[in-house]
Parts: sequence; structure tokens; C-alpha cells
Amino acid sequence: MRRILMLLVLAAVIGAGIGLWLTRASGLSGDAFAGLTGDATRGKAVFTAAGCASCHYAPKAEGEAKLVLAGGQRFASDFGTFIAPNISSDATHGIGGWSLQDFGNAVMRGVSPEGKHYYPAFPYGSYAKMERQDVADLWAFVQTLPASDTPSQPHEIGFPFSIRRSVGGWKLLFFNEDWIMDAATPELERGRYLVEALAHCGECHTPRNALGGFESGQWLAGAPNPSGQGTIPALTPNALTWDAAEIAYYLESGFTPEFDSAGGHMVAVIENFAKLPAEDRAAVAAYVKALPEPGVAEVSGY
Amino acid sequence: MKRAIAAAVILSTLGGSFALAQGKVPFPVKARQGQMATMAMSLGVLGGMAQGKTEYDAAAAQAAANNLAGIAMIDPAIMWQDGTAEGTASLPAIWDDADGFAAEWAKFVAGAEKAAAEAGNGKDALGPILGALGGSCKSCHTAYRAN
Repeated sequence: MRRILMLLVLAAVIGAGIGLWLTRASGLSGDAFAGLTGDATRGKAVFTAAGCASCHYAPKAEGEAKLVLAGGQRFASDFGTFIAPNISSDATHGIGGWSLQDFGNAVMRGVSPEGKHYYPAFPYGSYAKMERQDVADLWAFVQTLPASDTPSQPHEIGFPFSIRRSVGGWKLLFFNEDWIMDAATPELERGRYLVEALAHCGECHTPRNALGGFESGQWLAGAPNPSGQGTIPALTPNALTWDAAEIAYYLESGFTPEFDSAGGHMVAVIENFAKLPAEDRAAVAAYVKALPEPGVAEVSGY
Repeated sequence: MKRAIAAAVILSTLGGSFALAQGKVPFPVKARQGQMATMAMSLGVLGGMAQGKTEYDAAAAQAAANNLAGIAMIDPAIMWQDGTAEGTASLPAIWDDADGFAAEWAKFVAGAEKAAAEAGNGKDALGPILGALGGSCKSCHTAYRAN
């Protein structure tokens, strides 16, 4: 009896140890950015395409104030409310004291300089597919932005998700750097890079399972709005019948082919897309038009 | 006879539910939905020309812009009467933040006036007009429409 008990305790300790090891926060390798120098001018375009400001500027910021990444916007979800942190260049309250490696670990792996997990409300699951050079350029640009001494607020997350270690389990299950769609042409490749990585479209347009991972075979197939109000529309051909030019015009102007207009968070997305070259909007449109119907196995590998 | 009664019952049920469905939509809701549709149609004329889907026609562009300017003259307080939010995309903020809503409407009025003044000046005038009008659509829909 005692022996069985001892064995059980031993198994529990080993199990917990493996669990801790599996759910640890591991960043990029130490030489991930070796030999790369960031270019702030190029980084500005990456910044726009990645939509960093849209979530990190202060609530209701207008004009130039949108470049002050003071944080404070609230994002409701099934797991609680996430509050965007200060990522301005302030050394104390922002990320001014970081290195490129710290920045890369945060953006591409969701790992803080202290080695803690970030919640995937920060779309590092998409940014994981970014080119390292783009991350270096982005870091160069972000450092040029104004500092803000607004303290970051804690997320309002209930148990058990309040335990950051649980994010390790999420990563184990859902973190995946592989492309979701094939891209046969340079335009589709660019569209894929924008949709799947930088503009992180899937984060809202793909439905999630109970654990917060993308539902299999439902890439960009539409989802309930995590704010609880309304739905985020499907981009798949069963639902979206706009032609490529209409999609590109929507991303530029916010007008649907029927001349209804975008509202909500998509307005911020359009504000960013409107600043990108027309070829980028056309590339996104081409990618969207190439999407299969939901349920197709080829795109369920995430 | 039985058949006639059955037919009468079916007809009256259909008629009744039809009346009910109609009765469910308050008049101001119908009116503002029609107003929005008319705005979209007029914007579509300008947008189609701006995108090159249709050829620029100064008279048609001016007529569409005039429509928008006309719609801009309708008092929003008549269209968004208190108590008409239910079952529509209109958010309670329209009434809770009447000043903010009025400020958004004023942006549309400014855009429509710009359109009426400039739409006849050539195809290149349409981009800035659509930019101004589209900006007012987006900001108002973000704050006051369920998306």
C-alpha cells in the first residue's frame, strides 16, 4: 500500500515536472536577430500593416495621438477583459528599456523579458510568421515613437485563466508557425503574409473553440464578436461574394459594394489598409478570393 | 364549404401575421432605414464613377450629390425618436449621448455639402468627397450602430 502511494506521489511529481517544462515560456534562440539591422522607415510600413497602434493607442485617441502607444483600450472576451498595455518608448512604463531580442520574443513568441507568457489577445500567434527583418525594422520604428508614463493596467481575467502558466498549455495546443494556405503566385504570397501574419485577420474572423484555439477547418469562416455584440463576418466564398476589386476598395474606403460602410474595430483596420500601397490591398483581395469553403481539409492543419 | 373555411382561415392567418410583421416596425425605423438606403444608392453613383466602374457624368454626379445634401437636411431627431432602438442596429448611445450623435450627423452634413458643391467639378473631385462622407459613415457607425 505504502509502495503504491509512493509511486503515485512520484508519478504526480514527474507529471507536474513535465507539465511545468511543457508550459514554460521559451523565446526565440539567442541569435535570432544576428546580423540584422532595423530600418525605422521600413518599420513604419510594418507598423501600419500590423495594426499595432489600433489596439495600443489610448482610448479615443485621434490624429497624432494615435502614435502614443499608452495602452488602456479594453478587449472583452470569453475569458475576461484584456487591457492593452503601454508599449510606448517610456523606459519605465513602456518598452523603452527593451532589446531587439526582448521585442522579438514578445512579438513572435508571446514571451515577456521576465520570461512570462503573454495572453494571446496579443496576436503573437499570427506575428510568429513575420519575417525577422520586419520585426527588426518594426522595433527600430517603435523606438522613435513618443513616450507615455501611463501605467499599464492589469487584465481582468477570471480563474483559471488568471494563471499565466495556463497560456503555456494554450501555446502547446495551438501555437503553430506554419502557413495555413498555399500561395502559388507572388501576389498570393504577399496577401498571405498580410492576412495570416501582419494584419492578423484570422484572430477575429476565425471562430475559436472553448479553449481559445482556432476551430479546425473554419479559417476566416466568421465568428461571434468577442465583445458579445453582433458577429464578425465570414470571408469564405460561401458568404463573401464581393469580387477582388470590391474587396480592395472596401479596404481602402470602408464602403461595401452596396455602399454601406464599415463600423467598429474594422474601421481601424481599414484606416491602416488605406495607408498601404494599392498592391497590398489587391494582394489581400486575391488571397481572400482564393479561400476555400469552410470545412476543407487542406486548411485545417492549424 | 370546408375548403372555403380552410382557405379563409389560412388567408386570415397569413393576413394577420403579415399585418403583425408590418406593425412590428415602427414608422421612424422604416423611415430611417429607407433614408440610409437612399444614402447608399447616392453614394454608389459617386463611388462607381470614382472607381471607374461607370463613366464620369457631371450631371449624374451632381444629382447624386444633391440627393445626399437633401437627406442631410432631414432632422435626425425625427428619424431617431426615443424608444425606437429595439430590434434595430441603433445603439442606445444615440439617445444617451445626443450631443455626440449630433456631432456625427454634422460631419455627414458637412460631407454632403462638400459633395453638392464639388461633385460636378470632374472625376478627381470624387475621391476627397467620398473620403469625407465615408469618414462620417465609419465614425458614426462605430459609435452608434451595432456592427
